[in-house]
Amino acid sequence: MTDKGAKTWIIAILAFITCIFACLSFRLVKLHTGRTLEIKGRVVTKTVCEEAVRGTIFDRTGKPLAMNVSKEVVNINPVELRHSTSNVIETASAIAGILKMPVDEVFITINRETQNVFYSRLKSSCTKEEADAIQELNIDGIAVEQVIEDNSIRYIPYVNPQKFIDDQPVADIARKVGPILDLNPKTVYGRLNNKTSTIKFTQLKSDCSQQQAENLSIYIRKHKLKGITFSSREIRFYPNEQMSCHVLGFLNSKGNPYTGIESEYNKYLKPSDGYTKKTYNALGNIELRSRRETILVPTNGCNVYLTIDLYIQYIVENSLDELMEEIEPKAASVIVQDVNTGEILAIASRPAFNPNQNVTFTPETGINYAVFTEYEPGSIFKAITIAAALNENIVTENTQFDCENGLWYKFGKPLHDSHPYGILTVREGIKKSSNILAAKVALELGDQNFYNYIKQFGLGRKTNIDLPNEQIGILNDLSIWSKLSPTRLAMGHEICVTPIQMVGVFSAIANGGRLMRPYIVKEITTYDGETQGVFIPKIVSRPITEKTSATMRSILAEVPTEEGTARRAAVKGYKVAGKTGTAQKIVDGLYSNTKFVASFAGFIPVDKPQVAIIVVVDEPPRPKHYGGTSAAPTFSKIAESVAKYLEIPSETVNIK
Amino acid sequence: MKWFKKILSKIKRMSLPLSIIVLIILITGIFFIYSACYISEDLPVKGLYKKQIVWSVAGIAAYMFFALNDYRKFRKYSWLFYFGSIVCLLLVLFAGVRIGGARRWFSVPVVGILIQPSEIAKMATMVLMGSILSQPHTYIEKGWTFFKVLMIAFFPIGLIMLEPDLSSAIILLPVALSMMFVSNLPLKYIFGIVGIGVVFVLIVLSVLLLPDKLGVSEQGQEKFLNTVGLRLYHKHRIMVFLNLDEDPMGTGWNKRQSQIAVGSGGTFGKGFLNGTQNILGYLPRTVAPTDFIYSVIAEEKGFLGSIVVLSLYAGIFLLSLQVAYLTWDRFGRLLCVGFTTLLFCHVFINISMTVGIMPVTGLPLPLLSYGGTIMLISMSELGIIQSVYVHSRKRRRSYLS
Repeated sequence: MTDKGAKTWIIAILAFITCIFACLSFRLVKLHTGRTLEIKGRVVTKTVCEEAVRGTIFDRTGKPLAMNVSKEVVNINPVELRHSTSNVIETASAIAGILKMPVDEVFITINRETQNVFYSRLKSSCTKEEADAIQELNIDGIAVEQVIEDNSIRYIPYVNPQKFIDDQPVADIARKVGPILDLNPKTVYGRLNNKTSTIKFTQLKSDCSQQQAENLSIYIRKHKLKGITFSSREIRFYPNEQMSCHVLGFLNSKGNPYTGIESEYNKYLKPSDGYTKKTYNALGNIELRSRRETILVPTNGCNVYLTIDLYIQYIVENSLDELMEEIEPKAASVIVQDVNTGEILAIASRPAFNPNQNVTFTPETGINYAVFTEYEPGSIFKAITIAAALNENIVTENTQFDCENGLWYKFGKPLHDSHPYGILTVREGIKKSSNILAAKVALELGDQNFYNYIKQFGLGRKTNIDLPNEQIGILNDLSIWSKLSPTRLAMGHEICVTPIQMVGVFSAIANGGRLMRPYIVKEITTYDGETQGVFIPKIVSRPITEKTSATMRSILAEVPTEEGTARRAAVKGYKVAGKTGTAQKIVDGLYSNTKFVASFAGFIPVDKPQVAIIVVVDEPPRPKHYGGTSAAPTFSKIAESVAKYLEIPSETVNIK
Repeated sequence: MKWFKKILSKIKRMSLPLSIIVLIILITGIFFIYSACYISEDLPVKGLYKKQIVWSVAGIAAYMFFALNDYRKFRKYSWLFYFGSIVCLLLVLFAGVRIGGARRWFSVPVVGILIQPSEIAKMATMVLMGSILSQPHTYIEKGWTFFKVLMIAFFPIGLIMLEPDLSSAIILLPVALSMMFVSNLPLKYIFGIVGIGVVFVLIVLSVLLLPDKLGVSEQGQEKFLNTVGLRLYHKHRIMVFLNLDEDPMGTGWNKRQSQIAVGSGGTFGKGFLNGTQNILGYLPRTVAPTDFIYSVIAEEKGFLGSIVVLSLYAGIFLLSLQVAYLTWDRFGRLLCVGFTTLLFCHVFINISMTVGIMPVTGLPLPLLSYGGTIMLISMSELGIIQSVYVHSRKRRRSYLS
């Protein structure tokens, strides 16, 4: 009897358990087939850009010329910040003090109104019926705006995603609103959940130092301020400021390279950012590491080593600054080249800009005078005329010419010398810079020969130096030469050259007759220093022989002497050689009497030349408009410092 | 050789379906504990499944031990067992390890494991109640016996509540109730005590949910709840459960995320090791392998997986109740009913909380959840059920007649 009662109870328990399990199963069916939960259970994948670093530009000794530094960006959310402080003025002045900004600027930023309510369009337009249906739903956060245009009313449904926080009702609303507007409920759901633009931050300062940012964050913690965030960004920094600006170029505010090596070698310097797909939970705070997927590995840019020697560059820039201050010309330029390899050791132009301050870059300051400007070289060109004639054995250094006392009519046109001379040897003619002598030598040489030599010295075509905006110069084709042409070319008229071409000519004269390709990039390495490529010297042509070169050296060495045209180019303790050039500029088709280009090109030391230097001064005002008076002193200064720096042994020379 | 034959014959008499189901659940548990933890960067957590293997093997050993020994041998130790466990419960209040504000565990120094004496005490209580309630009927019908049974249940419940571990304590009530029903205690006693209980629960709930209407102040409410053994977090959990206080980022987090996990599994699930809710830490890693293992399974294996697991448990309960039905021994029957009810309550409460139809509690899912004590105890209990089947099953003939 009791046994039977027990069994009844057992069956009752069994029935109870069955009931409960049936309920559970019912619940499971409901949960597993519900759509909203499936949506919420999804993970969020974000593709994150991993920034790589741009390569550094170094000089030949490994000193950085262009590098990356990280700056802190301070962003504030004005509304939040205002709520977290009791005294806005005090806070503003404290922040301004820390960041070294004007107080009123900070104050204005803090008081800026940012929209708290943010509506986004659900659909570009809808019909009146749809609009009414939506308004009938009466959902807080969904509104319809009426826009009157072209005599008709357009209805635009808007949503404020901030109003929708929990998922369950959102999905329901999406399902309700979607069909009304003929939109996919999933799209509506996405719009309702799009909270990206709800927090409004505005930039306060974009280039704070680490120290300032640290101070500010201490202040924030101390005063429990809210709504200030930091982020860091890499910016390009040129530690030598204005120095070698034309060589380096700069990055504009968008990070795009502008002129110089930055632009020319951008494909090497430029980093390639990496992309990584990261999976997060819905809150976005926990990353699933095992799901991390690298789409692209970030690669830092390559480093570029220049042939520039920072110290020589410094000498050059300093001398140029002095020149600009002393003579006040329109522009000036200096190039220092290694005569044997063609490497550019220093190259500078004025006016210049500061690559750290993009605003200083203007069409005027941005010109790299050394490779861009085309000018008539003037007497400096006589070096080429004489070298060609000597090389052809048409004349020797002692061949005598009658200089016609300073005025010579040839083919019905007069030719002047600045001073009247009688009989001069070729050597003396160079020293005195006689136009008539040069013209006579050129006529002896013959048009075809002369033209070939000019070509051989690399004029009339690009040197292909690795700097942007190089100009070709002007060399008239032989076919359009007049009878007078050789006499004018002999003294550097009827031809335009660039400073980089001329320094190459003098290097070739100095180094035994090899015209070297000028180059400025020595080596490219990976960001970690692994060599990728080395640039080696390249001979472009051999215009003159070793012997002619030696003769030219000794002839040109007499120019910077007391009897020569450029005694100011002499360097104490060293024998230098060079040639002055003063050319009138052509204004409106006529030679101007007020605008000149004065230049001096030379090399040091005479016997075993190491560096060639050219100084070009554009429009030096009278009376210092001669190459001997404006360019030569600067040459002397630079040559002396460079010789000492390169430890060229000094020689005892008699400077009369 | 003789004892070997005896053991063999006993093994043959064991309920094979029960053993197979238990084994399947154990293996499933190991796999999904691995799934719940493999993503963790914390090495001990990552290796949790290995520990569970050890526990499972130990559990099977306990299962076999109890199945092959006649459970009636242990009856005479029931008082000793009971008092021993009560002492343990007392000790744990002072010497236990404090985790998350509760002293529920003893730490075993060398092996580095935690023992939960409340689980042992619950088993001891059931054994003693079974022993008393299987006395002759004349004894059972006395009011004194009823009182004694109430007292026996009262001490462990009170002590476990002091730990505090409310849900673990309360679960003894339905167990005791089921045993009382099956033992044929006079119904007036049972319904009397049930009535008192219902009134008590109603009072507590009304104070909890409608303090304004009762005119109870905030402090008064808190004081009252403290006296009846409820803590602040219980209140939160109940509020969350009843959707009176959503708090989706706080107390409601686990409930919500567990529901999302189950729901996002769909029909066939996201696949083994692919449960994003779990591995992404929506489900806190600490509870995923223990209390919320079911949501891991539901997410990764979908509706199919969760219904299979539910069916396996249903199978266990069906078979256990069949054992209770078929036995002629009243002690054995009471043990079967008690253990089944206990396991059922665990399963029901745990899964219910996972799918959001019950407040969040700390009750694990027996055999599936990670946990040493609960594993050993559950397996021992199932072993005893087997033992009842082996040793005091009615002959088939008598069952038919």
